Amino acid sequence: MTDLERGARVKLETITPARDLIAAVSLDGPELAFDISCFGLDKDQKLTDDRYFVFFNQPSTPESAIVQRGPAGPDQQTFGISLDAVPSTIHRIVVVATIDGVGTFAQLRTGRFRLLSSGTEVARYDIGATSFGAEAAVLIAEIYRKDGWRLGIIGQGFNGGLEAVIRHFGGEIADAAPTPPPGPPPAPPTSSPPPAATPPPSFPGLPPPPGEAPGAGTPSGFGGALRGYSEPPAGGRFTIHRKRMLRVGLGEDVLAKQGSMVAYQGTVTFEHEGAGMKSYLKSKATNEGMSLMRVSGQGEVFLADLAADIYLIEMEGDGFSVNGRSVLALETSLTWDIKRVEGVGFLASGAGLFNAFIQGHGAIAIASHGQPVALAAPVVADPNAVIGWSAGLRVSPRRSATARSLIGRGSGEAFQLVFEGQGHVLIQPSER
Amino acid sequence: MIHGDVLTNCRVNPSKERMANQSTRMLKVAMGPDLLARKGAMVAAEGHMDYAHHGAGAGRHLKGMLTGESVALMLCSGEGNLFLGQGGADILCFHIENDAITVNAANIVAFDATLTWDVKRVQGAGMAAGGLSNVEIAGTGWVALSSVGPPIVLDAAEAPTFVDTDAIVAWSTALTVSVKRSVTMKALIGRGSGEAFQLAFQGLGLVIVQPAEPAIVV
Repeated sequence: MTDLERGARVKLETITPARDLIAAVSLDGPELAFDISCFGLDKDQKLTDDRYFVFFNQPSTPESAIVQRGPAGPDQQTFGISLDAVPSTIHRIVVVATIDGVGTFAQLRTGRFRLLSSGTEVARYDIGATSFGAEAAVLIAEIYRKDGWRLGIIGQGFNGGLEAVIRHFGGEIADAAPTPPPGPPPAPPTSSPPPAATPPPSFPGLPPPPGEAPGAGTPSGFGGALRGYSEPPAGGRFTIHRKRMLRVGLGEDVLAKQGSMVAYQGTVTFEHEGAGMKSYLKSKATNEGMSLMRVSGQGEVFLADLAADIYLIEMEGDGFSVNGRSVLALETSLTWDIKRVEGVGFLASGAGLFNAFIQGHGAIAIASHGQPVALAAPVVADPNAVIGWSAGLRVSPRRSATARSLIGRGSGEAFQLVFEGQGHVLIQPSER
Repeated sequence: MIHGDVLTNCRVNPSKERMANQSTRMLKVAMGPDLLARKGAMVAAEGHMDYAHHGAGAGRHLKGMLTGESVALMLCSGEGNLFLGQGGADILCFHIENDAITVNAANIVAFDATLTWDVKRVQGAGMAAGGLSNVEIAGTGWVALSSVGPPIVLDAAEAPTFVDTDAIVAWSTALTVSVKRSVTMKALIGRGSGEAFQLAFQGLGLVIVQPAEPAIVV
């Protein structure tokens, strides 16, 4: 039996060889009534098929991969999960508890999530050990695909009730929805009553006012207009909050750009991540440094880079050659090194000479000044606008004598990089 | 005549609220009651508006001078819509009711003149922290703040919350604030100054954080 903490992530095969599992939840709080449901989400963590929302009115998915089994022994709710029957479109199974009626998870006395195989407990998470705020929902745990199946403990409170959770996952609620009405707004932890700040009505053509963001729940202070800015509920390791901030759920270590931490919650340590003297000297010499820190501990870390837009790249065994300054964070399952870009030779401007070469399986968060475009090779690009490219591409410089004063950035050195072969080049709409 | 999407799509937000976002980066204030606004924040006004220098009072001014966190405000009065912005930063507005928030002075855009304000200093933060002093706004009324990039609102009740001093926008005054000096982190998460500071928040309340953080040049 494995005891897991909030934020923990483990490969299922390391704790059990079984493919048929039971997820069991028990919760206890004075005068609280709970609804426990299961969401089957697609690769974008959305509920695209509402037949994969398993709850009291829909006890099974069509092929019975996820079945609500009801109370059993000490557990209020149990779900049978047959991993081999889960359709390939379902990437994530999230267990969620919501409060039916009055109350918040701040009143939770004890709680426990267990994963069982043939009646034997294989993993356990003490929900009661996590203290929650005035939230009416908690995302408890998830079983998700990543090199097989993994179990992740989320333990994340969520403002609003079941309805808000459904909306967050992209689900729709019909007027006569079979879902229960969400509980009344949780009591604010501050002494003041919640202000009656109704967001302005939206109208076409303008971005929605910040207060109207989807997934909004009830605020616990300041006012209704802030609710759209609440922390996003946990999903994968990396979640992007409003394009400009990266939320990292810790468990396994993460490498992050030095100086990129804006906030964190929990017990987190930051250490310099050495890249070897050779890489260090190279990066010093070329100003193409990728200075990283190793972030470890339990909790959540928020990273940003001068309000640049953040994008995720999922690596599946391939290599990515990237300008080190564009890397905001990467998973430690990836390997990296500073490498000289073959074929470019020595250019006076120094741009694109050395890159970080990242390889393996895992996610990279890239900071881009403006939305980047991914172009399939062959591509000719301004080296100052290139974020990175598929490692297999051949790169060569091209000088444009005739366009000297027109192309380039007025450095007097007008040249572009030519990319050939099979792969993509990622380009940001801004020179650095 | 000029035509185009920009005319049909960029009409005034019809909200009747005292404060509303005209866009993510522009604030619309329905005037009537007086408003205190950052000098220079006015972008446009529909209707007649008067702007007067708002004296901070000797005590506040002196404190501001000492701490380098003085904020120059103007008193706006009139009728109609007033539009405010701050260098293209995101604007967020909200209502407080018998509450108090502490704001980084650089992030103040405007607030109702009925609210009280004072320059406050974060206890425990020495001068080495770069003048960690702020403006406390209290009472009942509307407040508009700027944020470089969309902010995130963290609930300090969930877990001990730590925020980089450059990224802090505001927090519930009810929170206990201390300065965390991370010796082990040294130049790694700070700005290469050799001193890394975070503000540590504990208690019941919210913390607003902006995604802007000066990068280290290696």
